[in-house]
Amino acid sequence: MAALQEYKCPCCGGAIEFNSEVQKMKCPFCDTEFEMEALKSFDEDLKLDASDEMNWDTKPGSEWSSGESDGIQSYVCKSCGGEIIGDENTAATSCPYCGNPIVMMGQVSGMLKPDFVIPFKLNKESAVMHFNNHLKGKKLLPKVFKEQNHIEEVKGVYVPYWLFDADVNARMRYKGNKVSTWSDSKYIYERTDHYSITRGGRVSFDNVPVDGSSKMDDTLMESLEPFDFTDAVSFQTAYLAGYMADKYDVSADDSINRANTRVKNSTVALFGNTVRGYSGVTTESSSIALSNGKAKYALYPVWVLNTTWKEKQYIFAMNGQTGKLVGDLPMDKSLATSYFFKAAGLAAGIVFLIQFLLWFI
Amino acid sequence: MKKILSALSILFLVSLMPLASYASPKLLVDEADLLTDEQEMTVLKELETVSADTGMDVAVLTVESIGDKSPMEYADDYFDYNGYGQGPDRSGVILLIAMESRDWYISTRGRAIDCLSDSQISEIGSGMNLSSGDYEGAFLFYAGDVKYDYELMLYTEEQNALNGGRGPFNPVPKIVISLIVGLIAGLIYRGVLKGQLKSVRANGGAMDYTRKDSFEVSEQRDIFLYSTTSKTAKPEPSSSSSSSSHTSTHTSSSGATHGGGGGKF
Repeated sequence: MAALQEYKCPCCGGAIEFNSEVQKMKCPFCDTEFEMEALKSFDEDLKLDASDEMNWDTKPGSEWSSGESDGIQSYVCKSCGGEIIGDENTAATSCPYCGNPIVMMGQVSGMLKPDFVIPFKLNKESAVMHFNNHLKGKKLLPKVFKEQNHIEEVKGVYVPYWLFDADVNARMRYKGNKVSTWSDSKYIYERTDHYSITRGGRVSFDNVPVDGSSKMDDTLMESLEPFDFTDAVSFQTAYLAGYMADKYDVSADDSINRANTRVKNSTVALFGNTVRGYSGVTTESSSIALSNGKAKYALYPVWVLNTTWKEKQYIFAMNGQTGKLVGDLPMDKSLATSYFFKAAGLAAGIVFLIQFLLWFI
Repeated sequence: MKKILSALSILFLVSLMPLASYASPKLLVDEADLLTDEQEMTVLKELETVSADTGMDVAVLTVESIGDKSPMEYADDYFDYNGYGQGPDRSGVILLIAMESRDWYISTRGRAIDCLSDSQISEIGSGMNLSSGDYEGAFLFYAGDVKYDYELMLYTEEQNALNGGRGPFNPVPKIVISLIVGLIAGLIYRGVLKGQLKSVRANGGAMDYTRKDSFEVSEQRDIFLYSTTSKTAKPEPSSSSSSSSHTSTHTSSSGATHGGGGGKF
């Protein structure tokens, strides 16, 4: 005698039985009928549901060999507590985070050697030009902001990043439906076909960046992306000359969560895009498994400008490789209000005129 | 000469006789004898005045029984086959009172259809208060209301003609709409300008970092599970219209178009 197999109803979750009248599997609770094959396939899919497995092998960076870190000086800002490093040729006098003076502390210590660096592709003039462009055409920008900016004080800083590589194996299960409607003289009909949809496969990610400095706002840094790793080179101390670098204070282990979230979101989106032709889709379960998860430590180039205006701090950052510039600008409230009224008045006038003409003709 | 003149005058008088046979039928026919002779005279006088003023026959018919016919058929047929109605349209309205079945019915033809809408007819029905037994009052009310509705129709037509058929110019709703649209437009425009100032946004995904050609879907299954069908009944088109200007019409046995309505009392 074969073992009794109990199947769950995909519609309401109750136990399904074979109904001899209709010669199909039928759920006694919700009255829905199913083909045997469909139930078996669905059941198999359910069994394969698993939870995420996202583990990394994090040993980024390396130890300095002797003498390598001799030329690197460490500075500290008494005002905001920021720690910067620069090489002996860097004339670092003010803090890139808050603009206040910094003090040299002596030789750098307690820091791993970076694996890679993307050198600065764009120089200070370019940064100034990009910044001026950023201010153009912003109708609500207060007029005096531009003048009070001290753009010349923009600083080139290497920001520490943890870069994550991984091969991802994913399995997603969805519920989808297709709706069709038609009508005759008496009724409007609506038929909903329900499907169980499975997608599985793999995708690989390289160099997903997570900002390793708590002083540089993570959202600001993410807005600067993408950085193109093809320009990266093995780290040499000489690259620091003339620029400041930020010392990391967030460990790789602590940055993993952000990397996981981003990898998972993209994986879900990629597979989700392959589900087409349905009126509605909901995700039932997803399992993401990482393998070969590696982390690297790199320095990425960023031009930073700090401005204080009307008691508020504004920080602007430009990607030193691509030139992308981001930074939220202040708003002139009275200008905003006056534009609101101008637009509202114009629209109201036009609409009234149209109504009047329609009445006339 | 005298003979020719008198012959001609006789001919003339004789030629007038056919015209006499086209004279309007009696506007008040009280077969059910609901009114005294004196009341009949009052009502008839009122009906004749209104008929002359409005240019359409305004008539009243009372009977004991209408037999198997419906009140609508009876009233329509009585109107059509007894020569009621003025002008080429045969404009007119007749009020039928059937005592045995306690029906009242108002049938309209020609201009009277435009003049009396379904709701106006219904109002006359309730305003007459036939159950009280005061038939003289009811018929006078009927005649008065027909005259009032006629004059209301003339006034509305005059107003429409002045405005080229559009109704009077009412700026208030137009101003309200303009202000609302203006408000929305202003908010949208300001929102857009504000958005220009913001450029800092988190990057929730890692799409920029996917390795080229590494994305592969190795498993793909779409399994049909089950189907559900639901049906909803279509709403009935409303048979009674509540708009005050709507008049429903039908065709009577003589082929003429009539409007009208009735009830019980």
